[in-house]
Amino acid sequence: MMALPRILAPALVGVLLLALWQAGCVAWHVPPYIFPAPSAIAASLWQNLGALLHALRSTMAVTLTALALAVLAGTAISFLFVQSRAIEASLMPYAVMLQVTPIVAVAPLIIILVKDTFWSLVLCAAVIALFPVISNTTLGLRSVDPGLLAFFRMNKAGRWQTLWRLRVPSALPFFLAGLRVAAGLALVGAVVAEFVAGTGGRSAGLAYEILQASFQLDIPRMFAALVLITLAGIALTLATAGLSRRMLRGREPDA
Amino acid sequence: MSHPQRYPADISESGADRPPVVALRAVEMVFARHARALAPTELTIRSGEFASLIGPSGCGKSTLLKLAARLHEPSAGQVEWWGGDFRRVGEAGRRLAFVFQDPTLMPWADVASNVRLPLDLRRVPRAEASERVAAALRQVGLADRHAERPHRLSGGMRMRVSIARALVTDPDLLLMDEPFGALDEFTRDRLDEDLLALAAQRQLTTLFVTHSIGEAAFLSSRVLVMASGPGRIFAEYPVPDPFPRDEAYRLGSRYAEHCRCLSRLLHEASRSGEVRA
Repeated sequence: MMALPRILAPALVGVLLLALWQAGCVAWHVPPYIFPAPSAIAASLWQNLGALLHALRSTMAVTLTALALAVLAGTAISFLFVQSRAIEASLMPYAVMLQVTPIVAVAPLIIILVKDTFWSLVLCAAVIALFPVISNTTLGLRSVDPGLLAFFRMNKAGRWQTLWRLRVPSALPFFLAGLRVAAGLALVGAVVAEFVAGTGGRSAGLAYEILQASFQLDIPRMFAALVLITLAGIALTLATAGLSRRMLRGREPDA
Repeated sequence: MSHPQRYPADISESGADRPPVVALRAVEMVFARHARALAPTELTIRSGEFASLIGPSGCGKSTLLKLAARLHEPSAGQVEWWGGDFRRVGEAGRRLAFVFQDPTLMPWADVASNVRLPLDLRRVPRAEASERVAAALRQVGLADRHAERPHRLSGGMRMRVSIARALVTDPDLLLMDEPFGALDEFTRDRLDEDLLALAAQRQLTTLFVTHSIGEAAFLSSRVLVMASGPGRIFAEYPVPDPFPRDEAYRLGSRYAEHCRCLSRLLHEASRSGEVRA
């Protein structure tokens, strides 16, 4: 009952918008090299499906590897942070620095320094996906019910018992929220890095496809690549949301 | 008025020959930059008694209870458990259980896992732990809810789970900090009756903080009335009526008389304190 309008309503809006777009392009005779109609984009997507899917695979490989790297490094750093306030205070400014420096500005440097293209792209994407994992997990590990913490202390729980039985489960919803943001950012990071690397002709991802298509004024193909990036982003969001629901099953909905 | 006044003066202290379980000796509490939370206080809770702390909010009831549990270290004075001066919360700490104002359950774990937590922390073998968890849940009347998550239970049931978690370690001393304060009166009355039955069955010594006069009169063998500014024990009121007490006791004249006396004492206590906003 609830799921139907939640899927149906936005789908309807989408169809409506596409129809308007198509009708507008046809009515005003907009040339496809200025602004292609949805039908032209779909046709281009179909024509270049092989190359585009290959590019998608490459972008997704970078995104997912970067996300995994960010999750591993981010949670490790968070565990380090919650060991003592002194450690957090001394290292947090550098994590923030990493966050506020625009990745576009750092990417060329990374791409020059790291020889292997794949890993240089992964590194760029991981750097921008890292911060939400760190900040959310740290917050989560600290957001423990003070009553439960007192209960653990009264029962003489050790540091590890408190960590695994209390802090980690308490942090899980926070971590998963961070993961959702990080997944989106990893994709952004991968695409941005590909753009920077692509200008040097060393990439094969979707951003490279967009660049190539724009050089050749093949605008429908550019849009087709863009559609795939958007779909990849939606898939990532759905996957992390699903994971989150699965792992938090049985908990209070707003806990 | 730093010494507790006896009231009524002619009732002799019952069970004064029983061994002390918790003794607070000239215990004082000063929180940094705040007024003195607790003036030097003497208090001995003896084996088998059910003592309640009652008083206006901010009078240091919870502070006194947490000092007795050694959740806080006193600014001055000593807390003795079972007659010995334990310098650390060692083995003696395992003979007491604390029930908080909130159920403080783990939302991610089912009822049985929540109750088993103190046993897990003590590394009690799985089979033995499961047996004890089942027994504790039976005692609080929640045997059939063991697989539920806490958020599926009512407030009263969550509190029962919290009590089961306290009982599962088989404590001698139960410290309770306004455990039923957030519950409706009907639920609270039922829980009070069940708590008395459990305390009698397990021969628990209980120190119970409440802001309800009726609850204190119903549960206690002794009520300690506290006053604020600074927090102190203002009066001690024995309730010498026999246990078990039930719904009939709550309707009787003895109970009403105790409530009246406690209410008067509480008013005197609040007048004696400094004027507070």
